Amino acid sequence: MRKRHFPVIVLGAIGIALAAYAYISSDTGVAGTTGALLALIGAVAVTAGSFLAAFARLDGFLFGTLAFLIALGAVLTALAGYFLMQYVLAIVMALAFAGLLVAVFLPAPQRRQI
Amino acid sequence: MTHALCPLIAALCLAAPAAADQLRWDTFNGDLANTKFADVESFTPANVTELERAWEVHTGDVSDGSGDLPPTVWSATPIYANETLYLGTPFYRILALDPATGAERWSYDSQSTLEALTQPALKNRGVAYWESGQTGPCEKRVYLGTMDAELHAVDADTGERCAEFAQGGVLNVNQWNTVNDKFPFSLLQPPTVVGDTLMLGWAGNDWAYSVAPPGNLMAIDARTGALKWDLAFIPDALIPVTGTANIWTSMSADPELGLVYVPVSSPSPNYWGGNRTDPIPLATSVTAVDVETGEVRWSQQIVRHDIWDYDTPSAATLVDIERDGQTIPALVQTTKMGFIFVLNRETGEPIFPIEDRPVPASDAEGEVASPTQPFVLTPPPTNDPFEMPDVWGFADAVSFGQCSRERDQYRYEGIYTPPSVQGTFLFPGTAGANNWGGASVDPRTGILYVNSMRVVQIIRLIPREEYEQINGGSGNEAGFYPQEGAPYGIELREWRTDLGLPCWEPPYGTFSAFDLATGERLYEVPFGLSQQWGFYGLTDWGSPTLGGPVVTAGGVVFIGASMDARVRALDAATGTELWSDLVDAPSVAIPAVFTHEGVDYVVFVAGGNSILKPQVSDQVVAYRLGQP
Repeated sequence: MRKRHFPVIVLGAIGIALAAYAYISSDTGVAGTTGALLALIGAVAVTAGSFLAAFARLDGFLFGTLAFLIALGAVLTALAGYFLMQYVLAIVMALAFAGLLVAVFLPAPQRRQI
Repeated sequence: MTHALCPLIAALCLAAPAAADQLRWDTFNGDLANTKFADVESFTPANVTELERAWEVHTGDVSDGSGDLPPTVWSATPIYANETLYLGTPFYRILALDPATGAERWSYDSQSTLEALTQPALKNRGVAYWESGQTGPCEKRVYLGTMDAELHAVDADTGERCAEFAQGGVLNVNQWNTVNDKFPFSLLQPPTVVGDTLMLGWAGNDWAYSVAPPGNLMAIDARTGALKWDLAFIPDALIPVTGTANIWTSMSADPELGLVYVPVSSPSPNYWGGNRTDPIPLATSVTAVDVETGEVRWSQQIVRHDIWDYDTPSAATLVDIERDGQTIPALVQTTKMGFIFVLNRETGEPIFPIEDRPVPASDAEGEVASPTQPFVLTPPPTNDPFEMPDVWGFADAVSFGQCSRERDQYRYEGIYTPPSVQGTFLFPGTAGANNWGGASVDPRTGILYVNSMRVVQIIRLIPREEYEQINGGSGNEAGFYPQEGAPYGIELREWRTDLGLPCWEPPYGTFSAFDLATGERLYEVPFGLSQQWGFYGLTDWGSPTLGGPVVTAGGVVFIGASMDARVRALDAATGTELWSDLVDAPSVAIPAVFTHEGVDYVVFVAGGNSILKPQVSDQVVAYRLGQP
């Protein structure tokens, strides 16, 4: 279990809620549009990918590929949020991307030798 | 740019404060002169960000076309008169609302058929208002036209039909549709009320037929519904072979001169004129007509032998221009081409020169395109119609060169390149640079304000035999048109990639201001946001627009019009956006600005139009400044 991915899962879940709201609610200006649907799918993919990254036993190559896809999904969903003028969604997905970078690249804390 | 803005800013600053109340907004364009000027000073660039929704109403008269009903498109200007706000709806009802609260005072249902008889959608541009000056029932009236050619007159206080008008309050206008029976006279645009006369045009489907009902202007007695006179725009000899050249949009009038100014559309069919090669001087013109007699006083044809559907699309704007110490009674006609004709409204003489320039010849069977067309260089046209926009690199790249290939494939030799079998670029597109929204003008300064589209289309003439196999017939502003009786049907579409991206460089729409005294353009800035699949374009790209602006005495322009379904306030001095609000669909109507019980309101109708995008609504929203 990779606990460092939990923040990305949470941010992805928030992204799902925001994208779903954008897609459904008539006061967003993008309700029912393909763009909002793509953003929703993107947020779901990021969340699901992060869940997998956190809980599945993956070897280095598979994990690297998955991390890359999650990052790509987060960036594209953030961009979609920006061009849908759903700025909170864009920020949340940008944070998810940043969280992923931290989870993947920050060195693991050293265990104290006893 | 800064230098150009100086006179505008000075003029706005020096303008003397007026009695700042707008107690009527009682025509489609606010007033008969089509100034769309609201004499209210409370809205200023400094405080307009404090606008708040005063009320919001959903009429219930909306269809997206997914059910049994055709889709609706709605561009009704709210009419403020008789201390009441009147609206026509695309289900052909009249609503009378309390201007302060939006509460319904009464409603009237014409019981009109909800079939798209002549249009691809149920369509309405509002109602007309008349009052006699006397008191009593039906001395104040509201008129509503229907798709099936009925004109209803109801009492403005109660919504009851006015029995003395025609047959129990309903005039069957189609009784005068006697030449042929291709389609009914659809009354989508409310009549223009000049004194006690209703000036009435009609709409049809001129894309469908070569021979169609010939266009005319009907003068109707506002009290009785009797026909006073009828002016035809097609010469008698050509009536058997063509038609339309009708008036489908609003008109303006100068009661002092006794003239109504009528924007006449193109003859049928829209995109091939081999059946009508003889001159039709009143077609695609702005024509001054005597209100009393129906006599033509003067006419200026703005397109000769129109084969681009460049109808004169809006009412002319009437304003007095100060030049060299003289006051000139002027008329300003915006056009689908982007040219701005400025004429003396008494005589029709141009105030700024009109040049005849050679234009490309047609290679279509039987077609004889006009060898020249009138060009207006002052004021400069909106969105530079002389050269179509370049290929947009981004769209070209993501379409693997589709845009570049098509640029080389289709014919384009400048504006007025005739439609061809090869396919021709149409720029500006058939919905125009400018359309029914026309322009607004501040009569104190002589500054004209115009929103304008920048859209490239491709039109292709399809030989009849081939067309029959395609079996098209969308009947919309884009798609397949049969042009029955012509050797060609046509296909008309926007120049887009297979993925739907525009192939031409932005901007897609702009907002401009012109000093009418000098003819100088003061600014032209991208306006609105375009939208595709929900994604918004960049600010610099602007948006195609339908609907018109209103300028106020406080130096603020109110406008919807853009495809991003926002209503906006602009700084009249610079065109800078000051405020916006998201509404339920593009507000393709002209807003109403008025003073009711001492409070200034701006009211937008958000109805949508499929020319911009398939998003419709039945929303009416009123704004006022926040309470201190």
